[in-house]
Amino acid sequence: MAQKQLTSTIAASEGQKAWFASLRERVFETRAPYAIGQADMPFEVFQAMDVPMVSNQWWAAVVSAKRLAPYYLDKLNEAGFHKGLCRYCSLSMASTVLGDTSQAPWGGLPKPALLAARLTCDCVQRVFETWAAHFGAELILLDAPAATHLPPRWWEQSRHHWRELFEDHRLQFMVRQFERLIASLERISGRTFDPDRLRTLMEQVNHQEEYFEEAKLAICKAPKTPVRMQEQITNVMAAQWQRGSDWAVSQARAFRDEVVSRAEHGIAACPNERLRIMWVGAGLWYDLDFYTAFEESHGAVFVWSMYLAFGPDGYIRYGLDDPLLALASRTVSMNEQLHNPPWANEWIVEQARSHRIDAAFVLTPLGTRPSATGTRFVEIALEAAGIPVFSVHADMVDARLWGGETMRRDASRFLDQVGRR
Amino acid sequence: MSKNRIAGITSNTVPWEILRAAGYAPVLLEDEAGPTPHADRWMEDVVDHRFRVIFDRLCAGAWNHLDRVVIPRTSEQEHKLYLYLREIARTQHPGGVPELYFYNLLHTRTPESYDYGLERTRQMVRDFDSSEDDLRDAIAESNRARSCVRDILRKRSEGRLEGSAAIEMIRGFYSEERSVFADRALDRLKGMQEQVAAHRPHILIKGVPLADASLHHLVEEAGGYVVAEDDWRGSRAAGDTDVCVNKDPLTAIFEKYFYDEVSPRVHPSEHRDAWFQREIERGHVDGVLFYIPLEDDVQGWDYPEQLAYLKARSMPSVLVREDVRENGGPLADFVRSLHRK
Ligand code: SF4
Ligand code: SF4
Repeated sequence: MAQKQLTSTIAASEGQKAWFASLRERVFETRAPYAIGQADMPFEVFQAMDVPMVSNQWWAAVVSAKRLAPYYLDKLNEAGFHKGLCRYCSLSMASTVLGDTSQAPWGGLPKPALLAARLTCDCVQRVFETWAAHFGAELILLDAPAATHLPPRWWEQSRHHWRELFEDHRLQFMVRQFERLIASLERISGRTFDPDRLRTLMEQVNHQEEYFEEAKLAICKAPKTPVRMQEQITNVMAAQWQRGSDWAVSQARAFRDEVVSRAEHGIAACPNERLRIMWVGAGLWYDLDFYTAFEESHGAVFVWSMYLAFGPDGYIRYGLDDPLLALASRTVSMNEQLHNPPWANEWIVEQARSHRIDAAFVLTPLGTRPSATGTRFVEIALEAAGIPVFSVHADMVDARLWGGETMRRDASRFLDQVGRR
Repeated sequence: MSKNRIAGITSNTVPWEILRAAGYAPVLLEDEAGPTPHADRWMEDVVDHRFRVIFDRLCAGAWNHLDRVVIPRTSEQEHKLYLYLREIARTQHPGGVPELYFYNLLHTRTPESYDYGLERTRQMVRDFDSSEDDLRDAIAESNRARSCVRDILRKRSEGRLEGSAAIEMIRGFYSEERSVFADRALDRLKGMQEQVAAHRPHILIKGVPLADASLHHLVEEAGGYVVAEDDWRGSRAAGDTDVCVNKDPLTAIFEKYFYDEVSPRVHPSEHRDAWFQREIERGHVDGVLFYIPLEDDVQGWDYPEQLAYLKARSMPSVLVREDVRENGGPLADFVRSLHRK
């Protein structure tokens, strides 16, 4: 993998490993409760109650990066779950339930006290049900009514006008579900929920995302990106999973400082940068080298993924007098914002423009099929905005479906054409 | 009630009574053959064929007999269908897609989802301006049709009606005026007295929603008798209960759709599996046919548990995939291996 260029990236990886090690220690030594949850759960509530939560998708990415996904996914199929089923959200489950679980990275996931998911697709409740039954853990599912108020440029309203944007009935409903979640966390942890603590945490999250916004603006403005996309992801995700904590805020600040300073000093991640590429979709966690594979040959540098840009646009909420309601507004529409028309396509085109993108690679997940929706709308909108699109049909965790060589060859041809334009 | 406007509905959980009371004739939007160029352009191949067809025909303006299309939050695919259609209406064909209405019915059986769904149902009654008297009339009409569906199912249980014929008949429950459907069904049932199932093993079909009767025909050709299917277009069309007539019509309608309709989003799983387990425990089934193509992303998660449940009761079963229509061998062998209890 390409050399890490930012000190903050190394700190982020180490911070995350240390966090996980201390989590294991706490769970094993003091039987402290922890949770496993979907990426779109309100992590802030868990944070405010000192119940650590491991993101299901993050863990899947770790398992996949260690090249263990084929092993566990084969086990899943052997257990009778067919080969067409969704893999991103079930890989972590497989790694704790099937086969030799001691092979899992960093000692594996210990038994959680709680499993928690928001029901976007129809499959995820089943994955979590199976998982909870295996561990004998409590299960909390948050249902997800659909948005029907869909002004295209949502990001212009989400910070200040979130009450109107996300529809009162959906927000109120989510708050009631949060209350059920909180009751369960109180029971599990023996602590009492404190709304003031949540408000303070939400303010901290705003600061954290403001730092990310400054880093993003520096990337937009700099003639050549000061930081590669992969390093953005490492920094951002480490902080997002623990958002609002002192560590996360200072991590975000350190990242901002370093990116801004590199931009000011004209330091480019790849001095050879001639094409600015955006990656649309979750990462290819088992082949991160793909993202630097075209730097030398084409000067093609991946400068954008949703992970950094979504921080400020998706998370910042001003007006925190009712912190649970504000948090509900952060939770209710993540899927629409990132994956579905009109919100995803409009936002991604806007991002492409502000980042001066020359070409987009758009992932259509193969082994995580239900989450493939919305990609055609994104591709067609990008092309209409004059941005050439390379469609990548692959899975984010299932390396069994990946033809790295062929994909590099096809991508090279595509970039040849883009370079000639 | 003036009855000349047509509302397309995408599944069993759109409250028929509310639309009817508002003067609409609700019609289930069905799969059909033919190319789907709009769907090919805009939809990923993960979307079920029926929803691809619906999307395609609505984009093409081919179904302009519809005054409205009502879509419930009953599956994620319907949610996406709604978003896609709205986007096409916004960016491609302003005014070209019939007016869309989304019914945010949730299926997690929690107190919060109950309150939310009731409120959304109240909103729908307001939006459609359905009066209480008209709702009561529609409930009566619809309940009568439900009782006819149960008559059809009874005939089948008695061995006097092939499964393929039963589901073809039940189709009318979703596509015709329910009073017309009821009259016709009663008429047809009267003539059916002959035993057709004698000694043939009784099969229950489980798995993904069935678009047509082709799987039933395969079973029948192999000598089996399809006695039930876990499907809202078959055995579960009428549900266990009618819309209650002893409470306010709005609450009664909502509770019927909340507690007694099929959806892949029903949670917890005990509720989702209750019908299936009851049918197995009734003792009238000799074998279970699972139909789970690899395009499925839902039923496959439940399959290992359901299989274990059947094994514990020594109930034979077979699992077939999308190629069953080309390669019916394993299905036929399975049917032949069964004996009528
Ligand atoms: S890929 Fe999309 S739907 Fe899946 S967890 Fe990430 S944000 Fe959510
Ligand atoms: S569709 Fe998305 S949220 Fe659902 S199981 Fe698949 S990856 Fe997870």
